Amino acid sequence: MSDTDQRDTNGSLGGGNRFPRSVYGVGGEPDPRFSLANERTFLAWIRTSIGLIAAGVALEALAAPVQPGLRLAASVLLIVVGVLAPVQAWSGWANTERAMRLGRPLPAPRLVILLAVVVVAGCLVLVGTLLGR
Amino acid sequence: MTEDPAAFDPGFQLERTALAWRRTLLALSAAFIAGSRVLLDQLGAFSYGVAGLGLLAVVVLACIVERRYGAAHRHLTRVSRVSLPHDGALIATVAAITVFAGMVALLFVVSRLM
Repeated sequence: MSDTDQRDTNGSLGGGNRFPRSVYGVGGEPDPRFSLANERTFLAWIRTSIGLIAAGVALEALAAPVQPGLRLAASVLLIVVGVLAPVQAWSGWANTERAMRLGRPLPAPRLVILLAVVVVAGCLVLVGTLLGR
Repeated sequence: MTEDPAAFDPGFQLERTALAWRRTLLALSAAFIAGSRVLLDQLGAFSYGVAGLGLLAVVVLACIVERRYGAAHRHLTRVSRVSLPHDGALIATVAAITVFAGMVALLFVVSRLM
């Protein structure tokens, strides 16, 4: 798909005042397949967030057999990362879409390393506590 | 059958994205339903209200998503070059609903301290 083809077709389905202006107000239309992939990445982050929140709630609601203070800390940590993930997912989606419209290199993911560290730390703490009982 | 097979969605990008939307919205629905049961002790009947509101938002989003992909699908099968109806409003709404669910979850966990 050539650049001209992508730019000429805006309007029949999309077009207009699309939200947010910071993204759609710049550059040209990227290949729709890349926009769809960007959207799926966002949705995958949302599902990760739901999983983190569910894990945090389940720890407390099901009263997992873990030392209560540690359990509460792990629960709060999981939920806080679960709340931050959609915010990061939104800004990541917007930055990526903007970069694609401007033909710039894609931005690096930001929360991934923190998320990995938190999940691994949480798992270690829980396993350690369970084994120590 | 499509009128122009060469133009039709190579890599099933549209279908994969529609499926991703469906499983995300299903996961959100499950979260609201399970959440209403978990919050029943703290909030009483109000927890059903919160879950109902969440489910209503999910149903509205599902209708918008299905209409959007129906339109894009019809367009893809008709012409060879298309700009899909991308818009950040859906994306922002889903992110906001998830943050809301997370805040309710955080309140639930913290309320158990008291």
